[in-house]
Amino acid sequence: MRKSIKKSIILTMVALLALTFSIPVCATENKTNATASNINSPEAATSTTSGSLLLDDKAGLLKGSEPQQLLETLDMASSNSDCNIVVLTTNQGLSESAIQSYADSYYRTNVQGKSPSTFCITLTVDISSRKVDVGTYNPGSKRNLNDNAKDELREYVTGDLTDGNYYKAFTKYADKASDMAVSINEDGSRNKAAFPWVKRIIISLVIGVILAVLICIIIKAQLKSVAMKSNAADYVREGSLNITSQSDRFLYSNVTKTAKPKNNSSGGGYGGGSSGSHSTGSF
Amino acid sequence: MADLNEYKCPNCGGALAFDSSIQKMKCPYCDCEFEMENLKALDEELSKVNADDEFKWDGANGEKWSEEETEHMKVYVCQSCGGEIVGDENTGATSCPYCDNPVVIKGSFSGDLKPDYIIPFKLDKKAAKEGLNKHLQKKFFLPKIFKDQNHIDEVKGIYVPFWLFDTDVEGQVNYKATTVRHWSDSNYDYTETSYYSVYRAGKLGFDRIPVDGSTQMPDDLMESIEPFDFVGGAKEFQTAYMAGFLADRYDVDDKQSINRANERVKVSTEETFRQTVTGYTTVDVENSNIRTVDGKTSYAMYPVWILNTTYNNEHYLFAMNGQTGKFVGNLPTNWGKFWGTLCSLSVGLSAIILLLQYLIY
Repeated sequence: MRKSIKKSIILTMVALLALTFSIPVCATENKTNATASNINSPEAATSTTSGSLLLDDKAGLLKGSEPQQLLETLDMASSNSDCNIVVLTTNQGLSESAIQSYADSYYRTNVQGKSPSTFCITLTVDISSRKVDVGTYNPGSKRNLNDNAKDELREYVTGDLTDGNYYKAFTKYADKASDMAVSINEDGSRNKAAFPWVKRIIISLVIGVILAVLICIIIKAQLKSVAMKSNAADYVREGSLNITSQSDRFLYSNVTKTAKPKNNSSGGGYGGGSSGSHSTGSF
Repeated sequence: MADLNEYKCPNCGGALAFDSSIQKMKCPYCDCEFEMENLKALDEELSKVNADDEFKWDGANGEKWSEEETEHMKVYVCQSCGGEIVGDENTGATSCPYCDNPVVIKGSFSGDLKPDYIIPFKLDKKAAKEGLNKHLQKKFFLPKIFKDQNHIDEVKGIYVPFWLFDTDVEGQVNYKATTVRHWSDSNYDYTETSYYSVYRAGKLGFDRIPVDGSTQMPDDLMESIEPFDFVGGAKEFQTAYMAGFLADRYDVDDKQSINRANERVKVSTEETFRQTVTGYTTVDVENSNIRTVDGKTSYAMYPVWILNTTYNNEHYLFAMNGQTGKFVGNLPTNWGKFWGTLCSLSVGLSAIILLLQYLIY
C-alpha cells in the first residue's frame, strides 16, 4: 500500500518535470530595442484600402477611432520587434486553405519587398466563415515562429474573437506577436535577452515547491512504520485457490468523441518566398 | 410496442424496458442497450453475490492450565495503564512493558486457557537494542537529540497472546471491469469504454491468521511486525519456554477477535480472485459474498521485544518480532528541520528548474 503511494508520488514528480519543459517557450515580457523599420512609410501606408500596410479591415470590424489606434499599436509592435505585424479581416467566407492563400497573396502584394524586414506575421479573420489564420513569412531566413508558437498565438486571440471583442483581440495579438518575434534571433536561435524571467520564475517556484513538498513527504514517511494490515495475504494456503465458476459478461459501452484541433500548420514554403507557414482554426 | 420488464439498468439503476425495434433491453434514462440473456445471467449471479456474508468458526477448545504449571507464575498489574502481565517467580517484573510505570504483584496466575502453541524467542535482548539502533539510522527528519539521548535500558521480551484462525473460504465476487479503446479519424478522437460484469466463484484456504488478544498491546503495532513463521518455528506449548520472559494475559477472547480475522479474510479473498480477472483496464469489486467453512481457532504465544521511551512528553513504543527481527515503531519529527529543508529544497529546485529553462530557451 505504502509502496503504491510512493510510486504515485514519484510518477507525479516525473510528470511535473516533464510538464516544466513542455510548456511552450514563446511568450516574453522583455522587449529589446530592435531596429525600427520604415513599414509605416507614407508609401506603404497608402498601399491598402484601409490606408495601411499593416492593417486591412475589409470586413469593417473596427469602429470609430479603433483603426487608427490599432494601426499605431501595430506600428509600435512592428518597430519594437523588427517584424511586420499585420491584421487582415475579410467577409468572403473563405475556407481554411483559401484564407491561407488570402494571407499569402496579401503578403506578396503589400509586405514583401516593401519593408527592410522580411519577417512578417499575419492574423487573418474571415467574419463570414468564422475562420482565423496566423501566418508567418520570412523567405530565406531561419528567423520564424514554430508551429506551437503559431498555435499559441491563434488560440490566444480566439476567445476574444468568439466574443466579438475584435479590437481587444487585435491589440493582444500585436503585443504577443511582437514578444514572440523578439524572442527569435536571425539565425533561428532563441534570443536569450528576451527570456521571460518573471513568468519563468513563477513557474519554477510553483513546480519547485510542489517537488520539494513531495520529496519531504517521502522522506518523512520513513518515520512511520506502524499500520494495520489490510489483508491476510501472508496466510493464504499455498495452492488452495480453486475457481469453481466464472463469467465475463459484456454489459454496454460508451463512445465519446472529441473534435481534433483544426490547425492546418503547413510547414516550409519559403523556397519560393511567397507562401507562409500557417495555423488556421475557427472561432 | 415495447414491453416493460423488471430488470434494472446496471449503469444507472433505472428500470429497463424491452425495445422491440432492436430486440434488446434498453434503458430509457441512459440509453444503454443490453442483451436479454446477459441480463438474466447477471441477475442470477448478483442474487448469489448479494447474499449476506457467513462467518462460522469453532471456538477455541484449549486446555486449562494445570495447578502444577501455574504454581510458580505470578500476575503483575500496572498501576497506571491496568495492563496485566504474567511472569515466573524468578523473572520478577518491576515496570510495565507498555508504559514503563511500576507494576505490583496481583497474585497467583490461574483461570486462563493454556496456549496450544508457542514460538520461542529466537533473538535476544542485544539483538533488540541493535534493532532499535538500526531503526534510528538514515532517518533524515528524526530529531538528533532523540537519536543521541535515546537510552532505552528496559527492553522487555514478552510473549503476546494471539488467536490463530484457520479456515476454508467459499466466495462469490462480482467485479465491475472496463476496457478502454482509442482511435481517431480525420476530424475526431474517439474513446470507447466498455463495461463488463465479471463473476468469480471459488474456494480459498487460510492458515493461522493471527489476531492480537491483548488490549494493552496496540493492534497496529502487532500487525506491523507480522508475519511470524509458524511452520518453521512454532512448538507445542510448554511452560519451560516462558522462563526469563514475561507473558501478556489475553483480555480479548477468540469470539471478539474473529471480526478482525473476517475483515482480512474478505479483503484477501476479493484480491486473490481478482488476480484471475485479466485483460481489463480497470477492475473494481462491486460486491462479494464470503462464507467461512470449517473455521478453527487456536491459541498461541508469539515472541515480541518491547522497547519504550519518552520524548517531549510523548510516549514512543517500539516492537521487534522476536523470531524474525522485524522492527517497527513510529518516530518523532524534527519540524524545524522539516520546514527548513522544505524551504531550501524549494528554492534550490526552483533555481535548477529556472536555469534549465534558460539553457534550453
